[in-house]
Amino acid sequence: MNWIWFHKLASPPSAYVFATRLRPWLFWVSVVMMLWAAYQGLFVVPLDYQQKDAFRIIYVHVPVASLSLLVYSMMAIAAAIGLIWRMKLAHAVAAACAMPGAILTTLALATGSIWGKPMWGAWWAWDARLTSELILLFLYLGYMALRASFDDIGRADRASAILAIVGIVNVPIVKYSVVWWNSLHQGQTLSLFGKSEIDPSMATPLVVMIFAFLLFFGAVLCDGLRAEILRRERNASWLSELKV
Amino acid sequence: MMQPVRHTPGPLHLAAVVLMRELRLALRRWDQVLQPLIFFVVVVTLFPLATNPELSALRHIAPGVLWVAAMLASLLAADALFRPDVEDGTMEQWVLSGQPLPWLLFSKSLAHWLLTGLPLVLVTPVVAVSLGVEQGFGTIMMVLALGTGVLTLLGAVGAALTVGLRRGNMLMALLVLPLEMPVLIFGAQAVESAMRNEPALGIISLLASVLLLAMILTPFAMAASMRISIE
Amino acid sequence: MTFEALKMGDYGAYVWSSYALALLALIAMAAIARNACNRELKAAQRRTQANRNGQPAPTSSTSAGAGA
Repeated sequence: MNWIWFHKLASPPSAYVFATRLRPWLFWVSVVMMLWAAYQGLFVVPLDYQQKDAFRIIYVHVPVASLSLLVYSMMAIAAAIGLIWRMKLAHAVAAACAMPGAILTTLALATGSIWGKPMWGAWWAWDARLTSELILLFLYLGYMALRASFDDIGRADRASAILAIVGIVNVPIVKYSVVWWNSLHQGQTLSLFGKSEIDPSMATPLVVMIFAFLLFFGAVLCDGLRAEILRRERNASWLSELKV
Repeated sequence: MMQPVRHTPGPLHLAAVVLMRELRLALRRWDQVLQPLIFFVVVVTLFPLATNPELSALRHIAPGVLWVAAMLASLLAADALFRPDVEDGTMEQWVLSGQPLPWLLFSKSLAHWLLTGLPLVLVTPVVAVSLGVEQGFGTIMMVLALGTGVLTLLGAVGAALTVGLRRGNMLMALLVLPLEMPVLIFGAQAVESAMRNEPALGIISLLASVLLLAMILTPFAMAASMRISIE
Repeated sequence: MTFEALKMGDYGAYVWSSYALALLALIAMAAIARNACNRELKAAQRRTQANRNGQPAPTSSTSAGAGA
């Protein structure tokens, strides 16, 4: 295997340039995909037999909820790489993941709650999925709070990396404890989620929406990564040749 | 201070040295050692005052009350786990000593559990009676012993992460409490089945495996965090 | 597009508000990252300029010429 491309890309200047070039593509492609999928989801897709029109919320809720977990694992893996191989760029990626991740988690909770009101009759239920998503939000907030409390960026990187890794080890434990805890007490609500044999015409916009959110997150990550690289490379010489 | 050792000490010897040091220090400041215990009892007292003081009503929330109080007490105690040693330079000596830092910090956490977790476990039957618990005290103590072990280890990671910060107290609660939620869930469940005299072996073995996992993994997280905190 | 279609049975408020929230969150995400990036870029620009001005006179003129 030839790893030269990897080392080249992993150097801050080329990563910066790469992120700058990639961002508009990700952004505009995802916007187009989102508009199409939202139009399909809101107006074209037929009604769900059980949930009627309320099921249209699926097109924002499911992509966001799945992305919130994906972003956390990405953050933890990047943090681990940064900690083990002392790679600045990996730390920068982890740091850039936190804010969009927290926003996505909040949005997943909010849209889930809005969906829950007409379906379950309550804004909130201490259901397994909701609870573990809430704990995920706490993990994001703790990560950001820890980062913010260090003045030195190198120490903030390493300390928050440890927290992210401990958090990801704990995520399956939290998940199963919560699922198990809930199923002992009550098991009714989840059956409402049972797919009534989802039709391809319903599924295609959902898949498109999931990828659209993924690309949008990629675009946001590009900007966040650029900011983090600039913050870490304050005194590097390549900066002066960049734009001024 | 640690005794000067001429030969390379074995791991058990090392742990014994650390344990003896911690216990001796604790004897000297026993009033501080008692604080988490008093805090535990005070927090439990708050619930009857805030809700319904009928024993039959308290019985319903007893497992939750016991565990929330135990979590808060262990959190309060964890803040003082490394701070004195970091401030007087002892911790720097430990890091530079060439001895395995994860093992040293694990031994220190063990001593910390003996000083804060164990008294809490021992006082639990009395507190539980005041919440209307009538049976299953042995199981409850066992469950609390396992659970406070996990709480101490996770609290130690949080303490090591935040010990370099000037005001890490609130931050530590924010970091550690979400990670401790599985203990709360399993622990409260086990206490509930113990109160109904049902077999709780399944949940106890689950808690034990969580403790084992924490014993294996957290010392390395503690050591890595400590290296960052004192540099 | 009729009003009935927008009302979506009686679920319109729920559906529309969740789509609106999603839009808001997407804008917030993009704007926060963009802002952070722009702020760092400006700071970097200020630093390079300060470096140039701070340098001794003979080199500063040549480096400014090279940079422009």
